[in-house]
Amino acid sequence: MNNTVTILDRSTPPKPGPYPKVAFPAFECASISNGLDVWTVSNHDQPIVSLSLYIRGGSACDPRGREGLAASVVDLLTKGTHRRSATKIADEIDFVGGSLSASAGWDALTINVSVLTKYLDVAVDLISDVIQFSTFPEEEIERMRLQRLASLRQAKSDAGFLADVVFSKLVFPGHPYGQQSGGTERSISEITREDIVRFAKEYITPSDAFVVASGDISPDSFRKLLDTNLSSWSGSARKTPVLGNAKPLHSRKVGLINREGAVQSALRVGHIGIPRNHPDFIPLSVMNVLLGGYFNSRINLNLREVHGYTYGARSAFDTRMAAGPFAVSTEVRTEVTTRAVEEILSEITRLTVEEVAADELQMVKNYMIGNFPLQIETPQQVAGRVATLVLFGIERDYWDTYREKLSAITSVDLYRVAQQYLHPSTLAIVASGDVQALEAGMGEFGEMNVFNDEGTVIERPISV
Amino acid sequence: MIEAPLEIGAVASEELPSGFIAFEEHRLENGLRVILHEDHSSAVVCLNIAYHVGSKNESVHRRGFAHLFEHLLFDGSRNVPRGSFDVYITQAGGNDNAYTTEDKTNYYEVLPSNQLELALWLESDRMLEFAVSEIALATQKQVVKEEKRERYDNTPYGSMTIRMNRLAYRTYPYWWAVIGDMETIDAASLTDVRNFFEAFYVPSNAVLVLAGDFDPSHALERIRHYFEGIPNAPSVPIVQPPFDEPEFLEEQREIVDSEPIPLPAVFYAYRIPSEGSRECHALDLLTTILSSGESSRLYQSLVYDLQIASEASSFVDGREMPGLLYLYAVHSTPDGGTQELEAAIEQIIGEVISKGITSEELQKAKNKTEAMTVASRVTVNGKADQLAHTALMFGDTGRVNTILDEYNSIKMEEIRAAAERYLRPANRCAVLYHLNRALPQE
Repeated sequence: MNNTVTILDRSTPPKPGPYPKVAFPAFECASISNGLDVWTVSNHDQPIVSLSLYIRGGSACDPRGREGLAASVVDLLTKGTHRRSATKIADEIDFVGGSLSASAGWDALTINVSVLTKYLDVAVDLISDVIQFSTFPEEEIERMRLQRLASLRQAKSDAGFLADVVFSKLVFPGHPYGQQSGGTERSISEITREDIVRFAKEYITPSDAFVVASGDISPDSFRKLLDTNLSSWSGSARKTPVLGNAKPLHSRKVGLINREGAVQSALRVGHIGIPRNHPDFIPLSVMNVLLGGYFNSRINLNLREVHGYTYGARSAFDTRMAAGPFAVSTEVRTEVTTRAVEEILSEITRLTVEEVAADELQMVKNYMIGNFPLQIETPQQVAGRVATLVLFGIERDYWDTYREKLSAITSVDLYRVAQQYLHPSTLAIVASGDVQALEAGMGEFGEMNVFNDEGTVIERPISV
Repeated sequence: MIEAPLEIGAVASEELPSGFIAFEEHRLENGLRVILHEDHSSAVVCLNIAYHVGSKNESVHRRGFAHLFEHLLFDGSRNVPRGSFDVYITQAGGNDNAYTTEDKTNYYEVLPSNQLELALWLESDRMLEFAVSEIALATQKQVVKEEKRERYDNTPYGSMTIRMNRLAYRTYPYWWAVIGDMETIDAASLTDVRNFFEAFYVPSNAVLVLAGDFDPSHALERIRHYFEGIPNAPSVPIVQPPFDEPEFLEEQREIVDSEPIPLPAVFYAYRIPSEGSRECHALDLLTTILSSGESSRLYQSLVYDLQIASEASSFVDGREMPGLLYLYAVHSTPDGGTQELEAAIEQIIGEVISKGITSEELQKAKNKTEAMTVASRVTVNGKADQLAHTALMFGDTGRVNTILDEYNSIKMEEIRAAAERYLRPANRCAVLYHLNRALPQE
């Protein structure tokens, strides 16, 4: 055997085997007696269950001046009900080794539990209690306020967070997506119990909600368990209103946030993108992967591997109910910040002026098609993809034909979407870093403002 | 020619324990240990190779080298030119990554199952012979330095682990952080790279785990095909540095007031026995009782009742040699003092030592440990990583399936006794962050 091995020809890579049959796992949907839709993905590999309750209408519904309200409401859901104190709720879920959490996304509130199968009834009992019978006690509201203010302070010492805040402000002026979903020090200080109770009453209702559960469950008995616990859940007949898109920028905006003496700048470059439920979502995803969506993308190779400016650089279309942001994000050392922006702009521009070579596109498609089985490896990943279909109203067989749709994308398609959706001359460029070192160079890119850590413009003399 | 496997991780009873991972283990002629876990639940395979070399094996003058080397191993081997490793993997639809600790360096690829052989080809080529160029070395030094800036220098409290290791170890090569220092990273030469490769990147110093959708006998034949011919010729015998530091006789303390931070904070680290020891298990369960979930002692006291902390947590940083138990609290307001955080922590630890824990707390911690273990074994990569880690660190892969039993056998008194033995002020290192009013307010 050794002899054969020593003459092994290693010079060319081995050929892959036949492509494995990968079907998107089966899932089903049925309603329980109060009309709530329950989607289930069964997989008995490990004795664990995840359950997410989605309630449409998230941080995008925060009233002006009450930024962070949706996030505050979900914080408080698990902090006391008619039957249980906050500590009792924590005790019960912790005792079975499970987790119970709630979060506010832009388009939906979600309440998540993850628990070993043998304790599923404990988790369902808790989730049913917190969505129906939360009491929002004053003392818990004050605790929440203190916690949120402390985490805001922590976040504001993070260069990336500050860059995100200012970037959203510049890209979505006057639009809910330009607000801070976690609130500001001012809005969090001003939120009242009445705001919280009103928001909860209006939004936490089964009429615009659904459940996605995955893992070690059998759909019939799982729905029976939910029905037993949730059939009494009722509420307003609210349907979430449709959120319009923000207006695109007409010129380049540059935003700086000062972090004196910072060794790196957190950079964000981009503009408005598209909503999730958009017919060009797939060609744009392919274009984005090529630009900055994987390790071998143009932007990462350029900034990291060719120039060594950064540990990593990426681009993304954050697609939501309405058009979300497209952004290139990276952290680069202070002295190369301007050059990094030039490289980013040139990579964006290049896509709009020259067609992508067939082999480069093929590489991206190979990656995306080949990677799909890895993205649906766990029941929870599958459940996340099912939730995307439900939340954004996408056709039910979308994932079944996903790889065929990727496969059909051509260089012509990419060129078309790049020209249509990339706007290198009307975008926002934000750097959070050492302003003194950055302002001369960054001012070259467009109309520049310096912001404080609250995200408001600081009036200052123009330096020449 | 395939002989019987050395070990089969199967049990006779029908009721498999939570998170059970069936496996078989082989050893190739060159000393490479091979572990196979077959799982057809999705069309994915993971190749995970762990080398028994980490930052504790680097020269004191090349601090950060093991991690820099990890970056370089993606940058050229005999038949895989610079830049093409990741291209091959992504072209196949795969993901790859690597990480370095004080004790080991781990590389993995997750791929659609028809691409198994590609992973074997790539990993065997770089185990056989690296081919790193000056330009690759220069670029990766920059990338690693940016990684250090991003994660350690430009992040609030980012200097903590660097400072803590320095306090917690006097001479043992755990005294520097895995990321190393700018100057010692810069000092690395191609000769260092070659020497390090020849010293540590040899088959007998590695464990190869393949997990996922494959036929084990075919896979083993392919593994032999690619790996068995790699010579096992370490330039010097590999000896893990023995731990010879005496116990501390008094607390080691550092106050940091020169860094921009949002809120005052207290970080403690206690030196504790090696990972896998019974006392380390007991202390691991104790950290779960102290800080896992909102019913935990630290959360209930510091965050919920006293409201002096915005977060408070603890965890075990288990290592091959004596590791650390971290315990920390971040104040809830900028004006708060670290003294009140320290007093509250002291009281909680004092109560554990004097009164012990309750049987309900112990059961909760065991339930949490079981749930976390199961959750970490849902993906093929999660399973492969645990097999590789167990094989490399404990020498006994079968412990991957008995570790929960070990935890479940821990008694209340063992936890109290471990707390008394190790959570003493004299065995403690403290890094305190105070706001510096002279700095711009964050």
